[in-house]
Amino acid sequence: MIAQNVLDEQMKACTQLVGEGSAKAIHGLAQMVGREIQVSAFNARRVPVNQAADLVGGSEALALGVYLGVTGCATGHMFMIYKPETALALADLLMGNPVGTTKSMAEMEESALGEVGNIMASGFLNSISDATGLTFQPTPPAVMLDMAGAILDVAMASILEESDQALVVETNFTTEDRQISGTLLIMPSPDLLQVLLKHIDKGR
Amino acid sequence: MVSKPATKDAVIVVGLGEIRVSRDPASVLTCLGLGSCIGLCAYDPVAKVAGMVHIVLPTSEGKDGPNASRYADVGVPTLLEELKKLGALSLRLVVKLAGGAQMSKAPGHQATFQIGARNYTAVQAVLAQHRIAVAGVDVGGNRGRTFRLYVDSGRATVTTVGLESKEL
Repeated sequence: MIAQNVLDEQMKACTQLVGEGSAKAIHGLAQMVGREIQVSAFNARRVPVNQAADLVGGSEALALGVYLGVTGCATGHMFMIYKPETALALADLLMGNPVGTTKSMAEMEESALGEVGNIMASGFLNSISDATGLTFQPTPPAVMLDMAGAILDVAMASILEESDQALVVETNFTTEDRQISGTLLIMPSPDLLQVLLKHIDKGR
Repeated sequence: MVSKPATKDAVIVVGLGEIRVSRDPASVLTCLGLGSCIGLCAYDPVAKVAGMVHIVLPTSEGKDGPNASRYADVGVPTLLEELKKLGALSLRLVVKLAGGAQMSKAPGHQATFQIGARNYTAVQAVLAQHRIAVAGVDVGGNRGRTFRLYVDSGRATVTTVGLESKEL
């Protein structure tokens, strides 16, 4: 039997690991848009799976979500969630247009945002791999513009197969002028959490 | 048909994996932002009893307990049982359902995003087992949906982003 305080310590270390990875992800975004991006809030908490959508404005809120799965030594879920107008502004920055040029999401814009998702996910997973000595890869990105609940559904379904609660590591990020802001959600599956706890110091 | 303003009604949100039943004519049962999930409602127009379940996954594979209603093969029969307790008769039940979308067709995700279709197949199977016909369906596609059931009338509506809400 492991003492609860040891588990708490491990959990803290694990959260820190995910936090460092999230910072790497946001660094990747900053490099892509050529702007400084700050973390405005960082939270790691266990939430009942059916309340996860509340973190991004509620189940019915219109959002643009970029979803990437974690594959490799264990599975997990990554989302970059933007308000629709922010997604358009981000697409402008990525394609070198003045902000306000893009009026609607088309294939080109979606693919640009998916690419940002790729860079962020790779930054995150490389950081996790460095810390644990394990290998993870992101799935290709899936870009969705719809109600937040509908965007999160597949990840929720996957987590609910094993657990009633999800560890959600939430990073809110923004440029200084608030032109670009969004939320990075990392949801390790229970098996990924186990793997992280077990290997937390091995790679360092 | 225009939906009643939500402020007048007692909105009962049916969260992921939950079942809610009501006999209060002022209440509206709703599943918000359904993607791959399926909202299934059943209404007895004589007993004026209504219920809704928010299905997340197709089959329980033997898992039970209070949270098993998230699975189609547990959630649907449990909803029917709950309604019977409130005086509903199976024969009279008007069953409608919405959701089961494939939210993305991105390469590398086919299996993940086909959960909606698997949910629908499982719901159909369990309804067939209980010999229950479906009176209204809006499933599939690639858009999220909000599903509402008005307990006073049994009217069911589906709202999709950017479209007028429609009656099922």
